[in-house]
Formats: sequence, C-alpha cells, structure tokens
Amino acid sequence: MKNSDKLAIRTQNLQKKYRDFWGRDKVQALQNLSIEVRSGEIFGLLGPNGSGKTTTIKILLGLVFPTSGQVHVLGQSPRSVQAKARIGYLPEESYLYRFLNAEETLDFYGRLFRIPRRERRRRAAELIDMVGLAHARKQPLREFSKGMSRRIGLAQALINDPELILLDEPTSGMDPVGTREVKDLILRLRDQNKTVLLCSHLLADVEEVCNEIAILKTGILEVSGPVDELLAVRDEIEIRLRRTENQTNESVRQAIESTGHEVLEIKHPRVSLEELFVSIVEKNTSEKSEPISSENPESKS
Amino acid sequence: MKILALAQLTVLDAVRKKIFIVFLLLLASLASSAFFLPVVQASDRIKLVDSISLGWTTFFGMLIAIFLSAFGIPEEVGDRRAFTILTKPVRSHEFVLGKWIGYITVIGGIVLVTWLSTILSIWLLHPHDSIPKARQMVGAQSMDIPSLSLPDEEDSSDQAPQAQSIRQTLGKRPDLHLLDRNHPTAFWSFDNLDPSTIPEGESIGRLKIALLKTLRTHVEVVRTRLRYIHPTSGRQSTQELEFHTFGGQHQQEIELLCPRRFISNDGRLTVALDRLDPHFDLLVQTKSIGIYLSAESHAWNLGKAFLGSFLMLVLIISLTVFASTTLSGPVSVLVGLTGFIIGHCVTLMQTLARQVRHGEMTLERAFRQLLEKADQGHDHAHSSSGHEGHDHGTNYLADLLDGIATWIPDFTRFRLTDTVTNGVSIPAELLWQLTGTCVAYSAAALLLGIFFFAWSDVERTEGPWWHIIRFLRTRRSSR
Ligand SMILES: Nc1ncnc2c1ncn2[C@@H]1O[C@H](COP(=O)(O)OP(=O)(O)OP(=O)(O)O)[C@@H](O)[C@H]1O
Ligand SMILES: [Mg+2]
Repeated sequence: MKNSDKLAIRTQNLQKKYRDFWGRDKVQALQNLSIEVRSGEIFGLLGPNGSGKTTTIKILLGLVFPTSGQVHVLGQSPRSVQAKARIGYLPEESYLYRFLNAEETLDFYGRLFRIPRRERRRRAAELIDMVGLAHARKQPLREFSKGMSRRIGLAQALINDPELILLDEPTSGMDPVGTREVKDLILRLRDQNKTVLLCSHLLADVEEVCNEIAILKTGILEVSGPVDELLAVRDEIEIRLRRTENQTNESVRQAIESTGHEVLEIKHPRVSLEELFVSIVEKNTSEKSEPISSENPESKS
Repeated sequence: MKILALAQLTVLDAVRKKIFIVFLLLLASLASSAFFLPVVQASDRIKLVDSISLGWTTFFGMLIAIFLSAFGIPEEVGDRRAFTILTKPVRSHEFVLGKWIGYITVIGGIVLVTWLSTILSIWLLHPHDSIPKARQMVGAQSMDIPSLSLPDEEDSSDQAPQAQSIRQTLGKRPDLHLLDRNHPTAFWSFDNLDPSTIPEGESIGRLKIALLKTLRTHVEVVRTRLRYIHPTSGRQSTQELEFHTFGGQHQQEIELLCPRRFISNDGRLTVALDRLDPHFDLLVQTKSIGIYLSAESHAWNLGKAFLGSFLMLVLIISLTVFASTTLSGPVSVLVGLTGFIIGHCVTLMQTLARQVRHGEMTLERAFRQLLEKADQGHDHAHSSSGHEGHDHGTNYLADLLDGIATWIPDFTRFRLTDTVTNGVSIPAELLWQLTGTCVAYSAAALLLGIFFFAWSDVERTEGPWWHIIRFLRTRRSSR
C-alpha cells in the first residue's frame, strides 16, 4: 500500500510550444499541464485530435523537451537512462525496423536493456505468444498488417518488464479480439501493480480499464479525477431484474411510484457490440470447420 | 553491448538494403577488366589490376559510404524509428556511435573483400610467375655537385626556350639541381646500409631524373653514365644508360644495377651520375636515388594501400555522420562529397597559394620595370603605394589558401596506388600518421555530431543548441 502513495508521474505547469527551425512559435501544444499519476494506477489521457496527448507522452519520455515546467518520471528526469530502463512505450504508430522479423525485433530491443541472451530469448517467445503473433515469428515486419504491427509494438514495449507503461492508442487498428486482449493485458498489469498511462479515443475501453482519467482540450487540462467519481450519475439509480412478464413490470413500476419515486425507463438491457463480436469470433475459431453462416440456423437452408 | 547491438542493426540494414549488390558489380567489373585485358607483361598487368581495384574501391567505397551514412540518422529520425530506440535506455552518443561503427564495419568489409579478391585474381592470372616483391626505399644522405670549369663550347644564345624557363623556375626550387656544362657530375652518398638486406644480382635501387634539352637539335638517344664507387677503396663499376627522348623535357626512371661488393663493410656507398650528352642537362635532387631495403610480399603491401583507402573512407563517414546529425540526408550527401573533393584539393590549394605569392612577385617586378621605363625620374611614392594595396590582397588570398590547406587532411596522402604499383613498400610510419590523422579528425567530427544530436530534442526545435540560435535571433530582431 505504501507503493500506491508514490507518484509514478508528476508534471508541474508543463508548457510546450512547437517552433520552426528559426525558433518562431508555431503551435502551443500544452499549457500549464499539471498531472499526477500514482504508482499502480491505470491512468487514461483523453482528448480530441491534436489536443496534446502524444506531446505529453513524448515529454514524459524525454523525446521532446518541454518549453517550460517540470517533469518527474519514476522520481527522475525523463532523460535519465535509469528511468528509461523501467519504462515501456508503445508509440502512436509502430516505428520499428521493417527489415527485422518479430523475433529479431524483440531480441534487438532486449539487447538495448542489456538483458542476458537466454532471458531475452525466453521473454521474446513469451511475449510473441502473448500478443498472438506465434504464427508470424519469422515474418519480416514489412509484411505485417497494421494490427500485427501494433501487436509487435506492444510486445516490444513490455520486453524489459517495465514498471511504468505508456501506451499511445494501443488499440488503434486492432480487431475487437485484439482490443479485448489488450484490455485484459492492461488489467493484468494492474494486478501486477504496474502503472499504465493510456491514451485512447475509444471511451468505452478507457472506461473499462482506467481508474483515473484526465481530459485535455487544445493543450489545457479540462477535467481529471477517478473514473467512478466522474461518471457516477448521482441523482439516478439502476435496478436490474431477471426477465419478467409485462404485468410484473407494471406492478413493479406502480410499487416504486407509490413510494413517491419516478421511474425513468424499463427495458431489456443490451450486450455491447464488442461482446457480441467477441463471442461470435471466438466461437468460430473454436469450431473452425464450420462456416460463419452456421451461427444462424434460420439462414441455413 | 548497446552500441554493438545498434552497430549490428546498421550492418544488417545495409545488408538487407542490398548495398552489396553495387559492390558485387564493382567486383565483377574488376574481374572482367583483369581477365580480358590484352595480355601484357605479367608485371604490367599486376600493376593495372592493383590500380584499378584500389581506385574503384576508393570511388565506390566513397559513394557507398556517403550515401549510407548521410541518410541513416535523418531517415530514422524522420520516420520516427529513432523514437523507439531513444526511449530505451540508450544515450545519444550510443546511438550515433552505434551507427558510425556500423558504417565503418560495412565499408571495412567491402575494402577487405576487394583486397582479398584482388590478391586472388592476381594469383589466378599468374599462378606460376613470382610476383615482384615490394621494397622499402632509403634515400641518399647527401648529394654533392662539384663545379668544373670547362672551355666554352656551346653558344648560350642557342638555348632552347623551355630550358631557359626551367632555369628560371629553378630559383624557386632549391631542392632541384641542374647537371650542366659546368657541373657535369653529381655524387650521392649513402650511410648505414645493411649489405645483407641488399639483393645480390638484381636491381638494388632506383634513379629518377629529368632530362632537359638545351639545344635546338633532334637527338633521340641521350647517353649518361652511372658510377658506383666503393667509398674506402675507390674502386668503381659503371653502368651506361641510354634514354630515348621525344620531347624537350623528360622524366626517366631506371634501376640501379650495382654489385653488392661496392658497398663497404660499414654500409657506405657512393653513386655518381655523369652528364655526357652536351644537348641535354639533367635535373636531379637528393632524393633522386633510392636504395631498396627489406622486401615485403606484394599482397601485404597492397593490403597497406587498401588500409590507406579505408582510413580515408572512415574520415568521410565521420564527416557525413556529423552532418547528418543535424542536417537532412541530401544535404549530408553534399557535405560528404564536398569533403571528399576538398580533401583532394589540398595540394592544389598549396600550389595555388604559392603561385599567388610568386605570381605576385613577378607581377610586381614587371610593374616596376614598366614604370621605370615609362617615366624615369618621376615620383615613385605614388606608384609604390599603388601596388602595396594590391600586394596585401593577394597575400591574404595566399594566406587563406595556406590556412585552409593546413587544417584539412590531405586525402591524396591516403591514396597509395602509385607507391604500390612502383613496387615500393609502404612505410609503417606513414600508416601510423594516416591513422593518427583519421582518428583525430573522426573524433572531432563525431564529438561535434554527438553534441548537436544530444543537445536538441527529436523534433529538432528545442534544446540548448536551439536556445543559442533563438538567442541570436531575438537579439538581432530587438535591435
Ligand atoms: N513536430 C511537431 N511540430 C509542430 N507541431 C506539432 C508537432 N507535433 C505535434 N504538433 C502539434 O501539437 C499539437 C498536439 O499534437 P499531439 O500529437 O500531441 O496531439 P494528440 O492529442 O496526440 O492528437 P491525436 O489524437 O490526433 O493523436 C497539434 O496541434 C499538433 O499540430
Ligand atoms: Mg496522438
């Protein structure tokens, strides 16, 4: 519990102006950004396109120098090699060497952390399996699809078993199963008490895995705080029942209304599209011989 | 290990980019030129193969080196692959050095393979001939030209014009001496020769002289004579020489055929050259004569020449990498090419500086003469102040040229093709000097490159280096 009191990331009054070669200001990407991410937290950074999410991550990694303000990552300067050894980063797009294959890629990045060879081999194999690229071990990255590149990028970010993981749109380009797996992975990382900073436009995903969020707009922090608090609708309440007859519904409504409360709606809950998709695809992969149409008995004639 | 991993990646990149195909083309053309050339003398063919392979390695190696190293870093920063690397615990200098080591490994591999295949092709071409060994040369310790007064037998007004102009330039080259009517003989003396290293029964050294026509005649065979003199007993052996000439001035090179017994036990030898033909003077220097010392295999000597080329390529790579840490790929290519060209112009610049200086002297003299002729007795102050200004301008130019020439490594020193084809062993000291130059300049270029690379962020708009630029800019704009 002592761990959760430590700050994994702390920024104070962070400002970033992008400039041209001659030093003239072009874009104010961040203004007075102060965020704090505690260790063991899954932190979601949200915002419209061009709001400065990627810029924030690049500053946290020491790739981009802030124009002013202070940054501490794992208690150190973002440019320190000690801090970098404990960080994993998945870039917005996979910037990897296209002439290497999946195994070589992981081996190469492992060497940059001075991981001994045997350990490197073991971890590479493990990560390749984990991100579902076992069939493409020896395939050069140049032949990878977008989702596959994301997957190897994710594996690459985890090669050093990092304490702090920065994921810039990890699920972009991934199929729903992949997205599900990424979310499960993030939840697993949370169980291992790692810190994750996540940027994403898929709000449902963020909602599902994050316990803290911050919303940026044109470089300004608009809202931040625990998800549960921010999303709770304090003046409504939800009751879910097993399927009932229409008459029962009515009597429930009357019973509630008789206590003086207002019932807003009574309806069937829906599964999310993601749940449906995942259930179909996973069922299909488990019964590979059957065609997709067999899912629906009516259309099979 | 991190640097090594990065270097390996760079090499792998070059390999998978099929850089070596260019190089294989080079080898193929090399082999074809060696095998399909009309068969001349074995030694001539070997010379040809040597110079072709060395020249082409330097040229193609230069192109590969520049294009490889100019685009490497800018490409990776541009397409942001460098981001993934730099977020790992990799420092900027490790990134730059890793790249650099990768490039010199690729180029080193190319040079090594060309060397080996040159040796192989020579061996295939001449499996039975003994390939002439490379010999180290030692120059004479001193030269002596005693004067001799002879009765006038030639009309000096009949001298060929080239001879006269060369006599004029002789004034500026104190190292050159003329064997003429009054000074018909030059003596060179050698000390510290080790008779055991001097070959018996074959050439012991080499003489290089220039013939200078003094009369308007059509002599085609010029006779001279070499004498080998035992320094203590005074015994002599003579070697008659005949040169065939077709022009006025002529460079000639001959082998010294001196029996070993004319070298004294304490390792001394005197060689004399006599001017016998009244139509020709001989131009000589102390270093006109060299005696061969230890022998070395041709392959090894060729290897040293390849090493020289490699060191030059390393210099070019360092320069290009330095440029590529801040500039774009195409601009870095330009920087590399410019470096290559300027490096080859150092001697030219020095000559130019000398010409500017001397040219100005004759100009000044001509000017003064003109003035003296035109208005004798008129005021000189005006005219002298007039050409003083001129004087300064040209001197500055000469100084500038000289200054540039002293700070730029002379790439022609790294090109050892002539030495190899002349069968002269490349001295180890020279290689050490070249290595020193290469290391010093490469280190400077890399340090600067790393400095620029580390001092700015990956978007190239922030960092101390940019603070300086911005500082200068704001100061200018606030004025
Ligand atoms: N290298 C750069 N040079 C100049 N401006 C830049 C640079 N990188 C980003 N910007 C600007 O900074 C602002 C923030 O960009 P950033 O990439 O951080 O946005 P983002 O929140 O990640 O957007 P997205 O959701 O599209 O990924 C944008 O206005 C963008 O134009
Ligand atoms: Mg982004």
